[in-house]
Parts: sequence; structure tokens; C-alpha cells
Amino acid sequence: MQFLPVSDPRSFSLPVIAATLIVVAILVSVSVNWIQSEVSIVKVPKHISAKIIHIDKPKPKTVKKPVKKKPSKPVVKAKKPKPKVIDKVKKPAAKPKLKDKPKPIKQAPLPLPGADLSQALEEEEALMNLNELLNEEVQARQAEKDQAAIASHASQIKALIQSVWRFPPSAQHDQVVLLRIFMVPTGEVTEVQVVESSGNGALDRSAEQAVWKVGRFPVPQDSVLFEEQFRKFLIKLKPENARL
Amino acid sequence: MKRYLSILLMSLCVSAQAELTIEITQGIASSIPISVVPFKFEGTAKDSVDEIVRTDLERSGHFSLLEPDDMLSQPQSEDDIYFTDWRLLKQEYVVIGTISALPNQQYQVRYQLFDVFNEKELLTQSLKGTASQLRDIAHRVSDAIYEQLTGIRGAFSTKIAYVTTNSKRTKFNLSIADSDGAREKVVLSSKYSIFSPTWSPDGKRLAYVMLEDSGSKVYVQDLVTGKKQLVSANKGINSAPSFSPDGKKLALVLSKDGNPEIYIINLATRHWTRVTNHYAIDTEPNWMPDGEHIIFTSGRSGNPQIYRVSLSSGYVERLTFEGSYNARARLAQDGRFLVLVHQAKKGAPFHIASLDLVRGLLQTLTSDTELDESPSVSPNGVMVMYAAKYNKRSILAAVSVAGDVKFLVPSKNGDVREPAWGPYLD
Amino acid sequence: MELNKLFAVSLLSLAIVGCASSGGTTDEAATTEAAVEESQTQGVPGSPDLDVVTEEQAEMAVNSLLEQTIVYFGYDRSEIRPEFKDVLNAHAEYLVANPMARIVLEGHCDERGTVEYNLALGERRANTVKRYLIVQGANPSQMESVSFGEERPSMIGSDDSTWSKNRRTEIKYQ
Repeated sequence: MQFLPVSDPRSFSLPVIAATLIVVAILVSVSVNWIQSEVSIVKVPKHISAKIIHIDKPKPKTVKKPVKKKPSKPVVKAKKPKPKVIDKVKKPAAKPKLKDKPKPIKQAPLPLPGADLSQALEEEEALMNLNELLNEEVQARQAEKDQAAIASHASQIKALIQSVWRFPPSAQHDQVVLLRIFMVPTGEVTEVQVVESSGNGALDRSAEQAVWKVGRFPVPQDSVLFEEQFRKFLIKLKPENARL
Repeated sequence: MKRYLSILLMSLCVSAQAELTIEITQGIASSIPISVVPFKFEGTAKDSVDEIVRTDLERSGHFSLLEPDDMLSQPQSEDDIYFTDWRLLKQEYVVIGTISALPNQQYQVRYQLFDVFNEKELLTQSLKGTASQLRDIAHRVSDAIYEQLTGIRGAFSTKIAYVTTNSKRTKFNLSIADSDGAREKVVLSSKYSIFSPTWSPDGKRLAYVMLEDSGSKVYVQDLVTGKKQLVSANKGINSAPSFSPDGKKLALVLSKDGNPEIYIINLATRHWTRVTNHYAIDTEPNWMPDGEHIIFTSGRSGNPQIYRVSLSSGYVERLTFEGSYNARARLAQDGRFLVLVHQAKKGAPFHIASLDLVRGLLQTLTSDTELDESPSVSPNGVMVMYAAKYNKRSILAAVSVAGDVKFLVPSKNGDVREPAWGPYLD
Repeated sequence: MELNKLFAVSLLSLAIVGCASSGGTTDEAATTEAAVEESQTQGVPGSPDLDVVTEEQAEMAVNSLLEQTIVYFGYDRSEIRPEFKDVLNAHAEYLVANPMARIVLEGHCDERGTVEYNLALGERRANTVKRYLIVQGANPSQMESVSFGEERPSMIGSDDSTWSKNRRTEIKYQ
């Protein structure tokens, strides 16, 4: 075998290609499994700051909606959408890096006819990136809508409870009671559990009674959202305006 | 490559979901609505047990009682209770009971406490006693209901001590009564002024000051035998006694060394220890439950304020900073609050205030009365009894530390002052 | 002629008295100010219309001072006010002149404030009088001080005028 000088980039080409192929293969195989169990990660849009909501990243709709806005270039079907985080990382940093190296071989999509391998791969990559970008945007917008719906319903629930909650004179301003509420899709409360007592039985009872007094909460129309967030949820009550 | 893998792994872990949590931080402070239905009664007992229970619970500040006249029905057994009716009246709890006569002039009192919303029995008890014990039984019923619903021990079976005098100040009586003022008993009568009565922790002795012609002197009186013992008669002031938590020592104010300072006397050995050393007035010592600190009043900053001294180190710390006059502090709510006499600024009225030692928040508790003084806290730390000027007479009044309930103690003739709330009598 | 003599003697006495009570003139000013705060005072020494001409009348003046046995204080205060200095001076002189005389100084307060703090304040009021008398030459062994706090008011009532009459130290000859 002829050894090229170390400084020559081409001396690395083969190992690099092989390594990248292996990486991609691993990623693809692992991600396939995960996609089948329907886990996907959603980026939380930066501009939303929900103060009263503690919410973990909701599952985005894995709806394959037709792409609306992007023009001309035909969309190549992305058979196996990659996990989003990888894209995120890949997008800013990875691409320049990859471009420095000889083109890696990507997964499945067939090269466009009539192009040589490297150009096909490039276009492939570009289209896939576009696809991913579009999907991201769609999912981000959906997540935004979800967040807004959750926030709106949560604040309605908060207002309803605050208007009827009568806490006992023994309540101290730093006592906290945590309740779990079970609702049916009509918004009716079916069960209230004390998850964590405040240490003050009368305060705990007053919290439970406040929930029952309201009896029925507004629920989002989106039934998926209802199932995820409102079928059961937690309420934390703390009488900050108590005298003691 | 490592980066991609680790990020992938991390993101996969995060996918487990947390529940939506909504935070509520405001409500309305209000007492618990409860109805004590008149007990079914067989016999001719004098005291109405359910009436005493209604008054006890109402005065505690935690409950609002429905008057029997406003009840839609007066059930006397569980089967007669229609919970919908009580829900209509917005009642959260209902108490029903019976009093039956037994042989040997005894009575049996049986009661049940129901949760209206859940329609279930929470508490039931049966108590026995003679006719003269019906009052005690009633207070025990109040204690049980109170503790069941608030988690706080009831103080309805405790006693108070106080001094009554005529308007000319020529006769003084030191008396003990139930915490609602009933069954008054005079333990000492004198032409000399008696003040600052204080209970020993076991409730068996009272220490007090008698102001004779030659000056103030401190006595301790055994409540069982009635025997009175002179504890301090030094030159100058002998006053403001306060028992230590173990009952063995008395904190006192003496001016024998030049000006009023705080001392401690061991009642058995009569050994003296000096606690304060300052040219200003130091008075009104009150022990903290740890037995290691004493709260007192001092004029050392120019006007009376509350301070705390460590008995081991002698270190003095100021506790009040608001107002032109803060004096006679007593502990409440397990030592988290002080109740004291407070004047917001010169010329303003004197009121009882509470100081939250945790939040540093001072709140005035009284407003209807003036010249409020001698606050004394119930042993469960919930209520404060004090003396006030009302229609030119001195009367006893009570207010809750949460500041929301006030009532006047039914008064005898003359002026009533210097209340001291007794301890639990186990 | 006799009238002229009488007139001369009077003038002379007046001059003497004038010097003696020159301190009293300034006291008057202070008294008038103080009188705005307190509705009543026990009597103003060295008043301009007091014409002392004989030793007898001088003695009567002193006696009238000695008859004044109550000194009053401002709210929450225990220092001697200028208008009472003459009274106290008279008592001090008496004690010096009569070494066997004994007095008890009783300190009192009005009803505002706590019972115990007022007991201590009453003692202060008795003690400042005692210290003043000592400074004026009286023997400490002739004096005892005791405090009655707010327990023995001289008047019953809850208004400024009553309160001002209760803030006092009383001199009681034994």
C-alpha cells in the first residue's frame, strides 16, 4: 500500500468515510427503534415563558402534513426522519464540518437520476434538511398552540379555585398542600387526592372542598391535549395571604 | 461521534413526562361553619352542654356557629340527619348528642361529629359525670371537636386568674375562673393592690406582687392549701415574677442594686442570679420554653422595647423596632409569635399587637378597645386575653392571634385586670 | 414723716426681697410655659405680688412652700421641672435644719402603659426628687423612696387633666 504523506487530506478519506458510515448506521438503527416507540423530542420555543405552568416538553404531533410554503424543489420523501436533536446539533455545527470532509454517504433516498454521486448526495442532504426544517417549524407552531391552550385553561382553573377557596384561620402563609385532580373530558372532577399534606388537616380539607365547590373546570377542545395534560393534574395551594 | 451519542441518550431520558401543576396562592381566610344541634335531653341538669360547646367553638375564632333558631331541623339521632339540608345551610360539620340521666345522680353525655360533605361520622364520644361536672364535660367535648377539626389541642378546659378591684381602689381580689369566666373563686383578698399574677407550669401555684405601704413584694401561693409564701422583699422594687419552664426558679425584677434589673431566684435554695446590667429600666421578664432565654422589656434605647437575653452568654438582642412603646411580651404559636402591648407613636392608643418572629411582621390585633394591657396567651398559643378600658371600666377581652375574633369576658362588678391564662391541667 | 419712714423701709425690704427672688423671676417665665402643658400647678413661688416685709412673712412664705408636697412630671418623664425647684429647695433646707425629720418619697404614674413599667417609672420619679434633695444638702438617711406605679392614682379618670395630676412624687413627712 502506498502511504501518502500525513498532511495530505486524502490520506484520511477512507477511514473517515468508513467511520462516518458506521456512525450513521448506528444512529439509523438506534433511531429506528426509538421512532417505533413513538418518542420524539420537541424543542421548547424560546419566547414562551409560562410562569404558573410546570410542564415538560409535550409530545409534538407526529403528523406528516404536506409542506405548504416552500416552493419549487420537489420534496424527496424522507423515509426515516432522524431524531430532532441530532438535526439541531447538526444544523449549526455539523454541516460545515461535514462539508470539510469528503461527502458522507447518507441513508436510503435514491440519488436523482443523471447526477454524479457527490452532487446527488449534496442535493439529497439539502432536501432532507429542508424537510426537517419544515417539520420542525410545523411542530414548533403546534407546540406553541398547545402551550397557549394549556396556559389559558390553567389560569382559568386558578381563577375559579381562588374565588371559592376559604382557608381556616389556623392556616399559615407558608403551608402548602398538593392535590391531584382527576377529570373526565366534560371537565367534571371525578376524584381529588391529597398527594402531600400541608401538616394542617383543616387546610387540606379546605383545599379539597374548594375543588369540589368548583366541580367542573374548562377543558381544552383538543382531546389529545386534554388526555396528556388535564385528565389528571396537580394543584398546589398555598395561602400566602394568611395572617399567620 | 461521542457528542451525538450522548446527546441522543440524554434526549431520550428526558422524554418521561411530568404532570401539569397549577399553583394557587390566594384564598379567603374564614372560619369553619359548624352546627351544634341542641342535645336531646332527659333530666333536669342545670348547664346546657351544647350551649357551652357552641360558645367555646365560636370564641375560638376558628368556627362560625349556626344558631339553633336558624337550623332547618334539629336531629337527635344519626338517622334524622338530612345532609342535603345542612349543605343548603352551607354547614361543613354537624354535631348531635344526647344527655341521659344515670343512677347515682350521674349523667351520660354522648355526641357525634359528622362531615356534611362526605356524609360520614368523624368522631363520637361518651362522657360521664355529676350535674356539677357537666360544664367540664362540655369543655371536653369542645376540646375534642376542636382538635379533630383543626389539629390544634383545645384549651377550653383551662383556667384564668385575674384581679378585680373597686373604683376607689380600696379592695382587691385575686380570683381564678374557667377560661370562659364561669365558676369564679377568690383566692386572696386584700386592701393592697395585687398585680402580675402568674401560673406555675403545673398549674398548682400562683406567684404575684402585692403593693404594700412599704413597697412591692413578691409572693407565691399554693392553690391547693391556700398557703402564701413571701419570696422577695428587698429594698426597692420586687415585682414581675415569671416561673421557669421547670417550675423551680422565678425570674423577678429588683431595684435593690440601684435601678430595676432582672434577677433569677431558685425557689428551693433561695440563691440569686443577676441577669441584666444596664442603667435603663429592665422589667417584665418572661421565660422562653427552652429555659435558656428570657424575653424582657427595656428602656435602654430611649423608650420601652422588647429584648431577648441568653442566660448562658448574657448576650442581649433587640426584637422590636416599630412603634414608640413595646412592652410585656408573651410567646404565642409555639414561640413563633410574640404578643405585646404596642403604641404605634407617641399619643397613639395602646393596643395588643403580635410580632411574627419569622417574618418580622408586627400586626395590631385590637382596635375596639383602648389602653389595652396585660396580654396573656392560651396554652395552645391561639388566643390572647387582655385587660382594656371600656365604658370607663376595666374589663377582660380576648382576641385570636390570627386577629380575627374578639370577645369580651362577661364581667363582674368593678374593674377586672391583670389576666393570666393558666396551663393545661392534665 | 412716719409714712416716709415706712415707705423707705418698704423700699429697702423690697430691694432685698427682689434680690432674693431674682431666681424666681426666671422661674415665672418657665412656669408660664409649663402652665400651658399642665392645667394646674401647685403654686408659683416668688410671684410678683408677694410683698414680704417681715421675718414672719418670710417664714410664712417658706411654710407655704413646705405645704406644697407634690411635684408633677411630664408624660413618660422623670426629671425635675424648673417650677418645682423652689419647693424642693425649701424641703431640703427644712431637712438640713431638722436632722431628725424623716420623709418618704412616693413615686406615681398615670394609667397609660404597663403596670410593671409604670412601677419602675414611679421609682425613678421618687429617686430623682431624692437625689435633688441630697444635692441641696439633705442627708440620704432622712429619705426613703417607694414606688406605687399606677396603683394609687390621686384622681380617677382617663383624660389629660386627670393624668397630669397622677404623674407625681409625693413628699410624706413621717
